[in-house]
Amino acid sequence: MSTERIDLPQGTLDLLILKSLSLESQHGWAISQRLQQISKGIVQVQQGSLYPSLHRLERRGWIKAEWRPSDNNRNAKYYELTRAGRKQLEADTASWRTLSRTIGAILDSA
Amino acid sequence: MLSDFRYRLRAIFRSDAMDRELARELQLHYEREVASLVDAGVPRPDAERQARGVMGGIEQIKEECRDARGISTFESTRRDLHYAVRQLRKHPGFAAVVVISLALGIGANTAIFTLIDAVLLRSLPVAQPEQLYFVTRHQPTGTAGFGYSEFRQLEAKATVFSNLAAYAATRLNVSVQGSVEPTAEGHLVSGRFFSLLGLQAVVGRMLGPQDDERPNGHPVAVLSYNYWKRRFGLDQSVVGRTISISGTPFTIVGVAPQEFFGLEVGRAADIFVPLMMQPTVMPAAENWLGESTQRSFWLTAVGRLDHDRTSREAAALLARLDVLEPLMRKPTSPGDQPQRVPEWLELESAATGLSSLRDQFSTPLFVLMLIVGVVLLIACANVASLVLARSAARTPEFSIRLALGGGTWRLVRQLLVENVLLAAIGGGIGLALARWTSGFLVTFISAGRAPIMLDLEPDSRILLFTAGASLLTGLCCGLAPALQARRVDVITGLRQQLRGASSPEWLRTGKILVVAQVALCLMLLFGAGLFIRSLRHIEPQDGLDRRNVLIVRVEPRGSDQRGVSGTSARLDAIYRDLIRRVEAIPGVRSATMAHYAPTSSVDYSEPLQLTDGETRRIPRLMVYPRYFETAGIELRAGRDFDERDLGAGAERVGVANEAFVRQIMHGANPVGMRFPGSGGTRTIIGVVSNSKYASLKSETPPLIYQPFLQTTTGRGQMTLLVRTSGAVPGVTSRIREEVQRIDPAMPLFAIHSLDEQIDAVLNRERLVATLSTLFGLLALVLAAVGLYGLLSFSIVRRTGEMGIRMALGAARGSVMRLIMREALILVMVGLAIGAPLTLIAGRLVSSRVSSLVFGMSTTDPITIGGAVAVLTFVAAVAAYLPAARAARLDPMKSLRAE
Repeated sequence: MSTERIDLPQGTLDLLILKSLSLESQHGWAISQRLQQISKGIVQVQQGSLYPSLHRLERRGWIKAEWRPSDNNRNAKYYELTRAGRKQLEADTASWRTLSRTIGAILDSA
Repeated sequence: MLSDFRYRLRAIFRSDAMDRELARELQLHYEREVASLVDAGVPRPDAERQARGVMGGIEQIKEECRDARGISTFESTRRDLHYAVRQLRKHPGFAAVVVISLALGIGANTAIFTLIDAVLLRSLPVAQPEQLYFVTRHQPTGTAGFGYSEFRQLEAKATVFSNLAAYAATRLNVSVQGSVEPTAEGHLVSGRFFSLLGLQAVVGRMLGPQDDERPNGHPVAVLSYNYWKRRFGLDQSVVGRTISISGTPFTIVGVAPQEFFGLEVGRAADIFVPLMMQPTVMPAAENWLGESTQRSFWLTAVGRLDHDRTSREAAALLARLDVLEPLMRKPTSPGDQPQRVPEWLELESAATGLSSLRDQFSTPLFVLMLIVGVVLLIACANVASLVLARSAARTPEFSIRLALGGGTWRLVRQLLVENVLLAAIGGGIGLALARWTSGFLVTFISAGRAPIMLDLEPDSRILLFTAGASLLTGLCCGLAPALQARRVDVITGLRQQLRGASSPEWLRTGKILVVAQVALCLMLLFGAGLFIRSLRHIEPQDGLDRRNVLIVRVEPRGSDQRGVSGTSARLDAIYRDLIRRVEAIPGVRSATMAHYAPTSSVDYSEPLQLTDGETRRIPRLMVYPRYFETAGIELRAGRDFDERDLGAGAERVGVANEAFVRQIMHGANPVGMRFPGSGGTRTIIGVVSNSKYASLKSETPPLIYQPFLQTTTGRGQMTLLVRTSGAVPGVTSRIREEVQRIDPAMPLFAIHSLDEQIDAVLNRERLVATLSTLFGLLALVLAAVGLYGLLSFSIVRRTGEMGIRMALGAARGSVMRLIMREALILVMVGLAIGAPLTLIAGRLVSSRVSSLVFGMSTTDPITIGGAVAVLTFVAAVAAYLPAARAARLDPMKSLRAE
C-alpha cells in the first residue's frame, strides 16, 4: 500500500469517474481498480462512495448502465458515458484546470 | 431533465428491482476484489476479510445509493402512508369520529365557499371577460342605465371600446303551438351583443347586427341552452320552429352555449330577442325605441376595451363624452327654474357579471363564511384532542420506535401523515357533502321568486379551497400531538407500557382545547341567537294578515303607458272586470287590486298641502275597494273605498294610515279633512292600521291610499290580491282562467301566496338565521363530544386514583361531584374567555352585519345570557355521563387495574 493517500475533495470523484469512463465502458470494480492504478495508489476509492456516485451520475443522465457479459463470462453492470456526460466531462476538466492553475499560481507567488 | 424524470420514476416504481440489481452489482464487486487478492497471493480467508473491509457496510452503501437516487423522501412518505392506513384500519371508531368531524367542518366551509364562488368570484363564461366593462350612468341618487337614443349615441361616439352592446332583461309571455307557457326570462339584446361576448351558437346561429335594423322588423329568437333542454329536450330541429312571444310569432334561429346564462349572475335568461323587438315583446310598455313620453333608462350597456387601454384611461375619455340627454329636476316650488340633474358616465368591471344577488347576499355569505370557519376550528380542536389522546395511548409505541433508533423527525412526520390522510378523507367526503348542500342552499335563496341559476360545478378554485382547507386542518390537528411526540422520553415511555399511561401533558393540552371550543361555541350560539331573535322581531310586525292571500301580478297591454289618452279608462275597466270575475270564484272571500303587493317597494308620492300651509310629499298607493279587508289591514275610522269613488267624475278621496295621523296630524282625526294637492283637493275618508310595505325593517311612513283612476302616474300595472276561505284546491288555476278570459295574451306571472312573498323578502335573514342555528348546533355537538371525550379518557386514565378515593371512603356522590366540578370549571373558563371575545367580535362586525340584525344590538345581553345558559346546560349533560360512570366504578376492580 502506498504511504501517502489523500481524501478526494468533494465532487472530484464524479469527475474522475467520468474521465475513466471516457475511453471505454467499464463496470464498478474496474473503475475503482483503474483509478487506483493510474493514481499509483494515491487515490483509493471507498466503495461506500463509488456506488452512490455512480447512481447520482446515472440519475443526472451523464452515464448510462447496461448489463452484459464481462471477460469472465458473467454478467456485469457496465457504465458508459452519454453525450451529456462527455460534455460535462469537458466542462468540468476545463474548470478544474483553471482552478488548479490559479491555486498553483497563488501558492507559488508567496 | 427528461431522463432524470424517467430515472426517478423507475426509482420510485421499480425500487425493489433496483435494490436487487444493486445487490448483484455489489456481490460481483466483492467477488472480483477477492479474486484479485487471491491472484496476488493472499490466502482466501484473508482476502475475503480484506475485501469486506474495503467495501464497508453493504447495507449502508445500499442506503446511500437510495439517497443518491433521490427517492428517499417519497419512498419513506409512501411507507408512512402505508403505516397510517394500517393504523386507521386498526382503530375504525377513532378514524370514523375524526373523519365525520372533519367532513362536516370542511363540507360546511366548501358549501359556503361554493356559493361565494358562484355569486362573487366566478368569471362570466365568455371570451376575455376581464376586458368587459359595464358603462353606467351616475346620478347623485345612484346609478342607472340608458335610453335607446343615448345608447346609439354612445355606440357611435365611444371609440375607447372595440365593441359595445346593450341589453335589457324582461319577462316574456311565451306560448308554444297555442299552449301558454310559464313566463320566461328574456334578454333584449343589441346586434353586437353576442359578437362582443365572443359566443358561438350550439345549434343554428346567434343574433347579429342584421337583426338590429328596423323596429319590430326582426321576429327571431335565440334560446338559452337551459331553456332548450327544459322545454324542447335538446331537440336539434328546434331551429326554424316558431314560438309566440306576447302574441307575435318568432322564429327560433339558434341556441346559446350551455354555460352562458346571461350577464346577470343568478338570473338566467331563457330567450334572447333583438333589441328592435322591444315594442312587440313588451306590450305593456310604450315604444322605447323612438321618442318616448316618459324617461326610461332601460338599457344596460357593456363594452370591450382595447387590450392596450387601461380602464382608468378609458374612464377619463368617457367622462368627456356628451351623450346623455339632459335630465331636468322637477321644480320643488312654483317659481323655480328646472335644473339639470348632474350626471356622468362611469365604468365598472363586467368580468364577473352584474348581480343583484351579489349586493343582496355578499353580507350574509361573509357572515356565514365566518361562522363555518369557526365551526371548522371547533372540529379541528376536537380532532386534535382525539389525536392527542390517542398519541398519549401510543407513547409506548413511540418509545419503542425511538429506542430502536427511529429519528424523532420520522416520528413527527408519521403523525402528520396520519392526520393529513384523515383530513384528506374528511375533505373528500366534505366536497361531496358540499355539492349536495349548496344546491339545497340555492333553492333556499330562490324561495318565492324566479329560480336562481348558479353554476355550482366545483371549479379549480373550489377544489383548491377544499384541498387547502383539508391540508391545513390536517397539519393543525396533527401539529400539537406531533410536537408532543417529539418530547417522548424513551425510558418513562417504555415503563408506561407496563403500567397504564397517564400523561398529564396530554390532559393539559386537551383541557386548553376544550376551553377554546367552549369559547368559540359561545360566539356561534350568540350569533345564531341574534339572527333568530332579530327575525322574530321583524316577523309579527308587518301589520298584515297573510294567511290565505294570493298575489298575481297583472300587466295588460299598454299598462305601462297610461299617458296615452283613454288608456287609464280602458285599464280601469279591465281591472274591475277581473276583480268581479275572481270574486265570483267559489272559495274566494274577497278580491282587490293594488299597484304593488304589500312589502314591495313603492316610490310614488304626491305633494299635499298640510293644515299649517307646508307642502309635503306623501307616499301614495293605488288600490281598489276591499284592499284593506283582503290584505288584513284594519279600518280604524271612516270608511273603505267603494263604487262611489271609482267613477271618472267622483270626488277625489284618500285613506290615511295611522302613521299619517300620528306624524302629520299629531293625533287629530283627519277623516273629512280636505288637503289641496297637485291634482286638486283630496278628502280623507278613512284611517287604517299601519302595515309595512316598502321594507319590513323600517318604520311605516305616513301613507295615503287612493283609487286607481284618481292617481296620475305613467305606470298602470297592478297586482291582484285574493283572499280565500282556507286552502281552496284549484283556485289558482281558476284565477289563471279568468285572467286568460280577459286577454289571452296577458302575461301570467307566477301566483304566490302573501306568505311566500314576505318570506322572499326575508329569505336573506331567514337563510342566515337558519344556517347559523344549524352551524351553532353542529358546533355545540362537536364541543359536547369534545368535553365528553376528554372526561371519559381522563377517567379511564385515573381509574386507579378513583379506586383509592373510594377505598378510603369517598362516597359515590363526591366522586361524581369531583368530576362535574372539573368539567364545569373548564366550561366556566371557556365562557369567561368567550364572552368578552364575543362582545368584541360583535362590535367589530356590527357595521358589516347591521343589515341582517334588525332592532337589536350586536352585543345584546339577553342573547348572550341565553347562549351561556344553553352551553352550560349541554356541557353539564356531556359531563354527567362520564361522571356517573366514574361514580359507578367498583373500587376493587379499579385498584386491580392499577
